[in-house]
Amino acid sequence: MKRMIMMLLVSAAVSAPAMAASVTNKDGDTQVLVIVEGGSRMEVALEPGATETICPSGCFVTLPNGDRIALNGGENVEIEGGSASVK
Amino acid sequence: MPTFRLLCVLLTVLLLAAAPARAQTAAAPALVDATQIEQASNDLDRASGQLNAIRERVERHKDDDARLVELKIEAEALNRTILAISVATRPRLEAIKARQAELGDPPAEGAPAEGAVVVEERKKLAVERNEINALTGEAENLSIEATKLSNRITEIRRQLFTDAILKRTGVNTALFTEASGALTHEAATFGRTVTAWLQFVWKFKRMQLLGAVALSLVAALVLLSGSYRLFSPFITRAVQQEKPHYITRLSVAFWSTILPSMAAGAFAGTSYFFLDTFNVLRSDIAPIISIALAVMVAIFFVAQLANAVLSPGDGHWRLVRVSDRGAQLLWLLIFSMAIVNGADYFLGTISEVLGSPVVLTVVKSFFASIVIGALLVVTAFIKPVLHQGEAHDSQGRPWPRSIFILLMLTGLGLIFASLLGYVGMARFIATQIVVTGAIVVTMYIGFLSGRAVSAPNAFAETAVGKRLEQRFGLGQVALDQVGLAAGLSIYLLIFVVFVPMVLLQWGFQVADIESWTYRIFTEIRIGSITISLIGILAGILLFVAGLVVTRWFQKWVDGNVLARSQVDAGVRNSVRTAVGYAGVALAGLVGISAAGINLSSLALVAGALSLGIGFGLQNIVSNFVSGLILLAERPFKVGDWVVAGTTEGFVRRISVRATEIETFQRQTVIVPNSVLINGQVGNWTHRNKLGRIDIAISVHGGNDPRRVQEILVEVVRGQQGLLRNPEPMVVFQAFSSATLDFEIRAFLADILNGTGVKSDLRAAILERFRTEGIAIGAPAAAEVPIKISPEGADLITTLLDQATQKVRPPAAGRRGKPADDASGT
Repeated sequence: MKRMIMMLLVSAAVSAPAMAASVTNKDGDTQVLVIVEGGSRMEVALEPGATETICPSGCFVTLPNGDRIALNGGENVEIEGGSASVK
Repeated sequence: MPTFRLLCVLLTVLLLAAAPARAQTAAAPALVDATQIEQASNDLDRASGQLNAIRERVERHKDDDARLVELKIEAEALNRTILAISVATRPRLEAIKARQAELGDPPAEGAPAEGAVVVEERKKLAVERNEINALTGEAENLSIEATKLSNRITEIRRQLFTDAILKRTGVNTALFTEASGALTHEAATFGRTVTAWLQFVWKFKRMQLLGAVALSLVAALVLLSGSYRLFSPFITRAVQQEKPHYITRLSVAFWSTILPSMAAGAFAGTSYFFLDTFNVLRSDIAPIISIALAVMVAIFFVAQLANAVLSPGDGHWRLVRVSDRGAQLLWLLIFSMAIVNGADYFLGTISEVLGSPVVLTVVKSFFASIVIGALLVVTAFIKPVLHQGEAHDSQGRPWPRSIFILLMLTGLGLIFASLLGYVGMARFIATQIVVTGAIVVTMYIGFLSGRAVSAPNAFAETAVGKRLEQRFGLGQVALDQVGLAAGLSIYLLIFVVFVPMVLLQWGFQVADIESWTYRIFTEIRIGSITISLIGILAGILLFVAGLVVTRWFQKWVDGNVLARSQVDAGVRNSVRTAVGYAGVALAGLVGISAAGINLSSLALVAGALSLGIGFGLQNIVSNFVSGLILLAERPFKVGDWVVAGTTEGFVRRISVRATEIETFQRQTVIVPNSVLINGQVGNWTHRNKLGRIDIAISVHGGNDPRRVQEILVEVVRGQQGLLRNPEPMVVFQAFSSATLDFEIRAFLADILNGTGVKSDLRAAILERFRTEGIAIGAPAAAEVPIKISPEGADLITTLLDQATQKVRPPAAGRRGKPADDASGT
């Protein structure tokens, strides 16, 4: 019993909170996001259906349709039709 | 009726006030949307202004390391604010997008045109969306700038540190000429400043000055005497102890360094505080006083430590194996180094405050470093080392080669660095040797003393331990645990107090350390995972609190609700256990979520584990589920008399994995619940305690069976504790040539009394048989009847008479009875 609890706890600690935001591309095409994080701009290409973990401590994202959004970190973003829905 | 009129007025006012309020709420959403963006825009403008202000201040305080740390923290906070401002506009963007999706695409060419309202709205939405995007773009740029600024501050600080250490000054005559000129000027200015201040203070602020000094003295005395009273066996070297133990020496050394130094620090701190609050200090005098106090505390600390470790006066208390003479010399050398280093800092600050040329500071440090280097070289040549078993006052030997070389290299290195012009580096190294060295040595002694206190049974030997034992009557185990706690708290103290001190020595600022501590406690980031110590601690605390509440609730339910609802003991037990497990599970969930661990990720883990559970933990899980079934179904309860396989006894405890059964020999057998669920379990006391006892009775075969049966029935009917209904029964089971076998079958209200009743019943039957003259036992061997004729009998008698004739007279003379017997036969 005790061992089971320990195992559960350890695995829970290992899978502890992922604070970074994750972006999923639900479109059929590869989408390119421009991410501003830590004072630098970088482009992230997302394959169709791929999920990427970005910005552990907040960032600005420019979406394929030209919208810009700010993320705190911890959000789940889905890209559909070039526009994003944040959950 | 003034009250009525007043009420009327109030009501009207209220109504009037309510009406516009309602109007406002109706118009609110549109207003809010418009103002939200404006608000964000204003906030961003303000942030931009702040950023510029920070940038300006960075340029202005380029040389002030402490100020730069603060500015960096401000820049980082500003960056977070900018992000928060942009995040706040996101919902509006979502709303606009949703509305645009609702409106759909504009009509194609040739299709009927839309209403003007729709066209208007479309236009408005598009404009607003662009505004938000522009705003976020602006925030993005600002954030980049803020991050760059904060990186630049880090860069400047690194440069500052490198400059301070590696900056080279040409050492030549010009330098010294310039410095001597500056020195005379500075001495004059310093004298004038201090005299002017002192005269002013003495004339106008005498009371404040004396008050501040007196108050700080009182504070230091309270601290000192309090700590002496509390820790006196640790601090003072007891005279009566001829040869103190190593632990005693260690702890005395540690505490006699720490506590007086802390008292000195408190004295310095409070004096500065009171002088400052009473407005005795002037802006040019304050830094001088503060550095003087700090230097004095540092020198006092080093001297105290050297005194504790070397104990120049008393060889028995020395922690290191050096000779008396060596200890005295070493103490003197260390003390001189501390004084020279302190003087360097003190004079340097005076130059800084009075605005003297930099060369003066450089020259002062130059001499200080050379003196310290020379002192190190001298240290290398003294001969303090003693071998094991040598008396303290004997002649010492030279240092081991490695230490000698180290001392020589450092000393000469300091001197050469100064001569080559690397005065900053020489000063830095000298400070490290004196102050950091002292701190590290104290830490080391502290660690040793903590280890010694937490060693098994060591605490009970100490004076504090003895006092605790007397005052609170603590046992050995408790004292040992207290000792462990004391040792651990010493470790903690060392870590919390000394590590920041060492870091401060290395050029880090207080704000740096603060932000690190804050970060360590709130977020440790490993890759994309963030762990918060505070969160985990809060989780554990909540879990413990949940456990306590559960126990209390369990007790309350059991004692107040269940006890009065007259439910069965088994149900009571089940409810209590179930409440306990539910509470633990709930507390666990609350604790886990408070620790910031996402429960959905836990579900993921559980999913991954389920396969492993299926194979590896099969038994445990099956027992666990069986335990739940046992609690719900209750085939037996605590106190029942059960038979499970070969185990028979009373159930003592039903827990979720296993059940404890106590046999009649008081052996506790732990039976896994799955065995109890899968196997057959006999329960003597399941629904009720009614039970039958069987007693087998055998009597002699010569008795009349009906008579015996009647007697038995009578006895059984007369026996206390047996039930009338179902009626007791006496069965004639078997007969043989030797015995008649009966069995009594009788029912008892409580089968647990069976043994006593059986015993009583047997006794009663035996007594009754004896009075009735019923033979019980069968003879050991069968009786064999012998037939003999009268002549034969006469013949045998005569033969016996003749055979015994010879022995009879003496025997008859002594006792006549056997003869009578013989004639009678």
